Amino acid sequence: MDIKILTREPETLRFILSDASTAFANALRRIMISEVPIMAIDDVMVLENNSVMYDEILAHRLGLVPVTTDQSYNLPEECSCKSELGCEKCRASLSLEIEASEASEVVYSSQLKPENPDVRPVSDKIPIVKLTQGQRIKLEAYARLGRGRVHAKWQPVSAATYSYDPKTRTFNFLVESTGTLPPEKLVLQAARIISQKTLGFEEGLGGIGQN
Amino acid sequence: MAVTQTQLWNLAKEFIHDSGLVRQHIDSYNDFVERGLQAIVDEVAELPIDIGDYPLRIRLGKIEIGAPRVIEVDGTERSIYPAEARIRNLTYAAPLHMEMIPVIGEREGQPEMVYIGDLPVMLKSRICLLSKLGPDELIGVGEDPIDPGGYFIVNGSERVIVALEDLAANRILVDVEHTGVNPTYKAKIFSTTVGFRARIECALKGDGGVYVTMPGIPSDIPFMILMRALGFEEDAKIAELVSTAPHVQDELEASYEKSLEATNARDAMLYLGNRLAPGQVDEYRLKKAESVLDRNFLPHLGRLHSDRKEKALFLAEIATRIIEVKQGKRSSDDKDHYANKRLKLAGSLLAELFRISFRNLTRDLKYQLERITIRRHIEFSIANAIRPGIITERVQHAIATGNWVRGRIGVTQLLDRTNFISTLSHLRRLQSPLSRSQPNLEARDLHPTHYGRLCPDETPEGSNCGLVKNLALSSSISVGIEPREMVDRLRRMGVVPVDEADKKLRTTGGKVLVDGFLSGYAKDPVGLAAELREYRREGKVSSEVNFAYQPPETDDGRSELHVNCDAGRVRRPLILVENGRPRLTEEHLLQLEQGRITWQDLVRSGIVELLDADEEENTLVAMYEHELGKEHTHLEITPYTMLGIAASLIPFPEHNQSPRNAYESAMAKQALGVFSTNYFNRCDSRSHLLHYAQTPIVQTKPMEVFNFLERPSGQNVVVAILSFQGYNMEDAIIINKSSVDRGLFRSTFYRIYEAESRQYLGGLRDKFEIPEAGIRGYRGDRYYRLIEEDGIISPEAEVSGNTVLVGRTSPPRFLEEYREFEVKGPTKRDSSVTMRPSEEGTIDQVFVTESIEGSRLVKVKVRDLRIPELGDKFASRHGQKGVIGLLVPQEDMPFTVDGVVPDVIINPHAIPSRMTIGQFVETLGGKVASQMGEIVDGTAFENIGPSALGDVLEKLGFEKSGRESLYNGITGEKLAADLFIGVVYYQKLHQTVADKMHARARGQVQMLTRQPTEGRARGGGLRFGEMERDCLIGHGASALLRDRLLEESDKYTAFVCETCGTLAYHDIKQNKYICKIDAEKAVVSPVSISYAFKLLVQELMALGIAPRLNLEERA
Repeated sequence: MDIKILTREPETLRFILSDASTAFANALRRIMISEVPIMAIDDVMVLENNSVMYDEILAHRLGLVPVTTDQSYNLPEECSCKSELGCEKCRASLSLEIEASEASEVVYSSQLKPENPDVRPVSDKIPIVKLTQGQRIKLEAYARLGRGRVHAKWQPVSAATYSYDPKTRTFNFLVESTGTLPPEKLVLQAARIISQKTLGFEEGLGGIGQN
Repeated sequence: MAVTQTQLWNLAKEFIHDSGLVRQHIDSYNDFVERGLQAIVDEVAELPIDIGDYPLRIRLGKIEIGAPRVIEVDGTERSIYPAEARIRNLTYAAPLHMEMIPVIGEREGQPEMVYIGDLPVMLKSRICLLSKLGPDELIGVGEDPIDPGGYFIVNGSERVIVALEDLAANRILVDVEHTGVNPTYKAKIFSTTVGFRARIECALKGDGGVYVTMPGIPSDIPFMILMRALGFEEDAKIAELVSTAPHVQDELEASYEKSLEATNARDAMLYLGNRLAPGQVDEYRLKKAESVLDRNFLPHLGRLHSDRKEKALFLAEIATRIIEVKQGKRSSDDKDHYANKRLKLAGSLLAELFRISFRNLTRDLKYQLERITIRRHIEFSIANAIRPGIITERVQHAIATGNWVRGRIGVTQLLDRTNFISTLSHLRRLQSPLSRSQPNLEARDLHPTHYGRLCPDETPEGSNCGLVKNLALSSSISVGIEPREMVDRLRRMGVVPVDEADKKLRTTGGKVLVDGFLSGYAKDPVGLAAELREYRREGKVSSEVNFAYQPPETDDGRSELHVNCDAGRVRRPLILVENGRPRLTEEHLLQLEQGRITWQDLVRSGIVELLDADEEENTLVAMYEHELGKEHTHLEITPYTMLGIAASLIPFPEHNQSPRNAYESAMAKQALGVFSTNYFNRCDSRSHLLHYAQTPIVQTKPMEVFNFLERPSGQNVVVAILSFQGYNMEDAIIINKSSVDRGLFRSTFYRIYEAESRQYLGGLRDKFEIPEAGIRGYRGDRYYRLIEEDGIISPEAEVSGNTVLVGRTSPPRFLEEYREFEVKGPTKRDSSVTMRPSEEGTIDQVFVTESIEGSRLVKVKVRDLRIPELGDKFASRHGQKGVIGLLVPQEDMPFTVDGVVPDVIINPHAIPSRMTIGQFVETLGGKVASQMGEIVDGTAFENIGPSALGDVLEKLGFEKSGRESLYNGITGEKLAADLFIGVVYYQKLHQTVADKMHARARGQVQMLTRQPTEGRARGGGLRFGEMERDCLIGHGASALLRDRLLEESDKYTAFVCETCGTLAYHDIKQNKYICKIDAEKAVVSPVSISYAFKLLVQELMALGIAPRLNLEERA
C-alpha cells in the first residue's frame, strides 16, 4: 500500500491510495464517517427560553454545530465516572445566555461561551436562532465524544469519498472535515481504529489458539 | 409586439392581483351586504299588524350593518378581531339594525332603529376590520399578513361556503329525451328570483302536444290553455307569438286539439282552478288559479297580474325553441357548456338563508305585536317585540353545520389548514349539486369551455370525480349589473320590442335575449354585437356584460344575440387582436411594469377583455403571437394560467401522464408545511408544522402569486433511482438516516384539547381542580401528577397517553344519583380532560379564557416532535407517493466521487407504467439549479425543457443524461450501472405512522354486544372479518375459529331449559336455576354461546317471536 498526498488544506485532504483492496479503502471511508470519535453537543440544559423556537429544536440545532474536538476527553461510555451526567473528563460545557435588547437579533455560534477553549464552535457564523425584543435564552450545553453511527452530528467528515480504477487498484480519496479535526488526523485515527479492531480480533482469536 | 414571456406573465400577474385569489367570495359577500340585505328587506317592505279595528302597519326602512363585535356575558359590547374569535370560540359577526316605522292609519310614527340580529362577517370583506389594515397592523392583531380571508369564523371554527355550480337560472334549455317510442323534446327553466326558485318544464310529447309543468299544479297543462289563461285567447295570435314561420305554426296543430275544453281566458283559468281546488266555488277556483299563475309560473318575470303578458311572450319563446329543436332547425342545448352554468357564491347563498330567517323574524314580530297590543293596547315598542335570536341563531347554525335552507347539506365546510395551498385551493373550490351516486357521465367530463376557467387536473378521484372542481388561475367571476340598463340601451340602439316588431322583422331579424329573456328583434344582430362590443371596449358599456351572437343553424332558422349581465359567470381574460395584431403593445407592458397603469386601465381602454363561455364561442383565439393570422380575434395571455392552484405547483407537468397531475393536485393538499404564520395564536384542533420548509429550487411562475415561496410545504432532496436491497419495493422509499439526524422532514404535530367549566341548572357548575381521590370516575394518582392547584397543566410538561391535562369535577348527571346519600352532600364526578390514549408530547401552550356564556374555557395545546420513521408517507410533485421502507445510515448509502450521498432512494419500477417524465425533468432541473445556485423555471408549457437542461449539465461537467457512477457504500465497489440522480422537491404527507399504529391484546368491550370495540381511539380490536373466517373454515381450523370468534370475543354462558328451549337464569339467592315456563319440570343446562347470539334471541322475543334452543349432548 502506498499513499501519495495530492492536496492538503486545513479542511480537505486529497490523496491517492494505491495497491489497496476495495474492502480496505471502503473500510477506511466508512470508519471516517461512522467511527472516529469527535465532540458534539449532546445534552442541553435549557434554563430559560421564551423564543419561538422550541427547546427540542434548539437542542437539535446546537447538536449540529460542529465543535472542535479535544481528544483528551474520555468517551462517556468508557469514562470512570459512570455517570449519566458525565464529569469533567468526559464532557465539556458551553453556555449561552442572551437577550435581544431592541430589535430582532440573530444568535450565532460565536455567542456560545466554551468552558474549555479547545472545545468551541468551528465557525462563528452559524445562525442558531432569531430572537425578537425581550426574548431570552439561557442554557448550558454539554459536548461529548461520540461516533457517527449513533448520530450524524458525530460524523467528523462532510465528505469522505473516493473514486477508483479497478485495474490499477488505486483509490483517489477525498476527505473533507467539518473542521472538528484536521483531515489528516481523521485519516490517521481511522487507520488506528482499523488496526485496533484487528488487534481486538486477534485477541479474540487468541482464546481459540490456546485451546 | 415582440413581447417576452416574462412581460406576459407580468400581465397575468396583474390580472390575478386585480381579481385576487379569493375575490369571488369577498365580492359576492360585499354585494350581499351592500345590496342584497336591503333588497330582502324591501321585498317585505311593510308588515300589516292585525289588531282588530285599528289599522297598524310597520314600515321597514333601511337596514344597516355595524362593525364586528361581541357582547360579553355582563352585557358589555366590545369590537373583536378574528384572532380572539378563534381562540375564544366566538363568532366573528356584526350587528344588523333596521329602521322600523309604525304607521297607524296613514300617520307615520317615530322611526325606530332596531337591533334585529347578528350576521357573521366574512374575513377581509368590506365590513371586516382586517380589510383596512396593512401587513404590519395585521401582524399586530394576531393575523398572518397573507391570509386570504373569504371565510367565516363561527364558534371559533373557520367555515368556508363552497361555491355551488348550478345550471343558469331563467334560461331556456331544450333537451331531447329518448325514453319512450317517440322522443320527447323538453325545455327546462329554473325561474329564479331572490330566494325563490321554480322549475318550469315544457315538453313536446309523443302525441304532438306541448305541455307545461310548474310547481303547485300537480298535472301537466296544455300549452294553449296556459297561453289563454295568460290573456292570449285567439289561436292566430298565439301562433303569431310563437313564430312567423308557417312550419313552426303547423307544429302547434296538435296543441290546439288538446285545448278544446278551454277556448277563452276565463275557461282556461277555471281549467287551472279545477286542478288546484276541485269542487270549490268558481270564485275560489279562479282566485287560486290566478295566484298560482302569478306566483309560481316564471316568477323571475315578476309576480304581479301585470307581468302576465311578459310571461306569455316567454312561454311562446319556449314553445318556439322546442319546435325548432324538433324540426332540426336548432340543436338541443348542451347542459355542460359553461355558458349555461353559473356559480352561486357566499353572497347569494347567504341571501337565501337570510331571507328565510328574516321572514321568520317578521312573522314572529307580527305575532308578538298582535299579542301585546291586544292585551295592553296601543302602548308598545317594536324593539321589545323583536327577538334578534331568530336571525342570529338561524344564520350561525347554518354556517356552523352546513345545513342550509330546503334541506341542502354540506354547504359550508371546515377550512382546510393542512398547508397554505390546501387553504387557497379550498377557497377556490366548486361543487356541483348533481348526485354523486348517479353516474352523470357527461357532467363529470372535462368540457372544452372549461379551458382557462376550471383546472383540468385538480379534481378528486372516486365518487366526486368531475363534480368537485377548482377555479383556474385565469378565471374571474362576474358580479353582474342590472339588466334594465342593457335593455334600455338596446332599445336606443334600434332593437324593436317583441310586441312592436312587425312580421318582416320577426322573420328576418335576429332575436335579442337579455339574460335569457327575449327583449326584442334586431335588424342586423351581427353589426349590433360588434357595435356593443366596441362600446364595452370604449368603456361606455360595463365590462361585466358579454355579448354572444349565435348564428342560425339552418337557412330558415333565427339568429340570436345573447346579452349576459348576470352574476356568477366564469370569465377569462384575453388580449384583443385587430387585423392580426394584438392591441396590447410593448409600451403598455412597460407602463404596467413601472406601475403607471393597472389591469383595470387595460380593460377600460379595450386592450384586454374578459369573456364568458358564451361570447368565447364567437372568437378565434391564438395561443402565441407568432401564430396570429387575419382571422384571429383574440390572443391568450399565458397558457399555464389555465391550471388551478394545486396543479400550478407541478414543474414540467406537460411531460407527465395526466392522471399523475391529478394525483399530485390531491396530494399537494396533504403536504406538511407552514400553513400560517400565526400558528402560535391559533386553535386548530390538529395541525402540523414542517421544521425546515424550503422553497423548491425548481419553481413555476404562478408560485409567486399564491405565496408558495413564503409558505412552502416540502424540501429539496437528493434522489437516486435504484433498487436497494429490496427495501424500496412497491413504492417504498429509502431515506438516509443521517439526513434525518440532520433534521430532514422533521415536523411538529399540535393538538388542542378543550375544557369548559359549564354551569348547570340549579346553580351547580363544573370546577377545575385536582380531583379528590375516591370520587366517581377517579383515574388514579399518577394521571393527575402534572396538573397544578388550579387544575390546569403547565407549559413544557411532558405528557403521555391518558395523562390528565385539565382536572375537572362535575356535579352528578342525574339529581337522583345522590339523593340517597344526602348526608354526605352532593357527590362529584370526575370529568377531567385527558390526553388521547395513543398520543404523547409536550404541553406547548395553555389558553385560559372565557366563553361567550361566561364560563371558564381552557385550551391546552400539546406538541409532539415527529421525526421521519418507518412507514411515514412522502411524495414528489408528480403523483409519486411512497412510504419509508428503511432508514439507512450514511456510510451504507451509495456515494458519488464528489461525496454526494442521496437523501432518498426510489425504486426504478415506480416509473415505466406511470410515465411521470416530469419528475425526470425536475431531477435534471434540480441538479442544474443546485449547481448553478439559481432557480430553474419549470412552469408548464413555457420552460427550458429537458434537452437544454442536459446541455447545461454537460457544461457543468456532468453527464448529459443526469446519470452518475456511484459506489456501493457497503462493499465499496463501483456499481455496475450509472444511476440517475438529482435534486427533487419532496413533500411529507400528513399521514404519519405515529397517528396510525395500533395493536391490542386485551381491552375494552362494547356494552351492548360485549364484543371488542372498534377503532384506534377506543383501543379497539382488529376485526377478524368474514373473509378471514372463510379462510379458517377452508383450512378446517375449527379450534382456531372458535378461539377467534367466541373465546376471544364475546363468550357467554347462557342457561337454557332443555324442556322448553327458552333461556333460563340463575337465581343467586336460592342458588337455583329457574325456568319461568317449566318451573319444576325444568332441566337447566349451561351453554357457551356468543353474547351477541343471546342478544339476538332476546330481541326476537321482544318482537313476539319465541325462538327455541334444542340442546343435544355433545357428540
